[in-house]
Amino acid sequence: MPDFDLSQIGKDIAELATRLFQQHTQQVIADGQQFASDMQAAALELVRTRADITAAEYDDGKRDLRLLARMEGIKQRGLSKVTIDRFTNGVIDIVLEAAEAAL
Amino acid sequence: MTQFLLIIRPHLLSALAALSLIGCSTISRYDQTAYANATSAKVEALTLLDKATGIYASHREDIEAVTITLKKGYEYDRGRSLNTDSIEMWESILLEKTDDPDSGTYTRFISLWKAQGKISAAAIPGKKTRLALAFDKLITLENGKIH
Repeated sequence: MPDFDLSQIGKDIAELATRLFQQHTQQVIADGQQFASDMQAAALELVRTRADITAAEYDDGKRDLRLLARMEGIKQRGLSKVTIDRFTNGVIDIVLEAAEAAL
Repeated sequence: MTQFLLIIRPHLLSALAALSLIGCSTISRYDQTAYANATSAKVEALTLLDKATGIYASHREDIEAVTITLKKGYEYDRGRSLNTDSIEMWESILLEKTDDPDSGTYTRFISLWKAQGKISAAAIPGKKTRLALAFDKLITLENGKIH
């Protein structure tokens, strides 16, 4: 009767972690660059129109920019949770496959 | 020992399979209805903004209809478990909070439209850009969840 191959399980989990968290890091960097670009364009657009809009409309725009920064943080927090879920589900799959092979 | 393992095998595998399905989630899975709600709400809200150079009172029914669409999307997401991030996104778009003047980008704009009677034409493109970005964050999060 074969036993759990703990060494292989460890290798598979390490590969999974490396792949998932590298992908996540690359996505966070790309999102951060896109966010900076979007914010710059939105801020420029707001300032450019300042003379043609009311003070309240300008204030609304400033509030939006602050809100967008916060929403980007919420999005990244959520996507980090998704990566953690993918990792934990992947670990369970690895252990499950090892268990099936051992039994 | 081998006989014992053979006896418990179905139960062990079932338990591991169940654990893999429900045991370790920190956030809700992708939901097609939630995604459709958010994309529809985005389109309707941006279309409404084009009308904001007109008199508020003349567009009250349009505003009400779009606001209901947004509220439906929010309420749908509120009913999903492990969904606090999407709910917070909806609240950022929809809820004006007295202790948080930045919150409620859509509703804040509607209040401004009502207070001023109409919105300056020059303010519309920027508001559309910012509201679209806000919805995109909600949509991107939903689409990024495990399908």
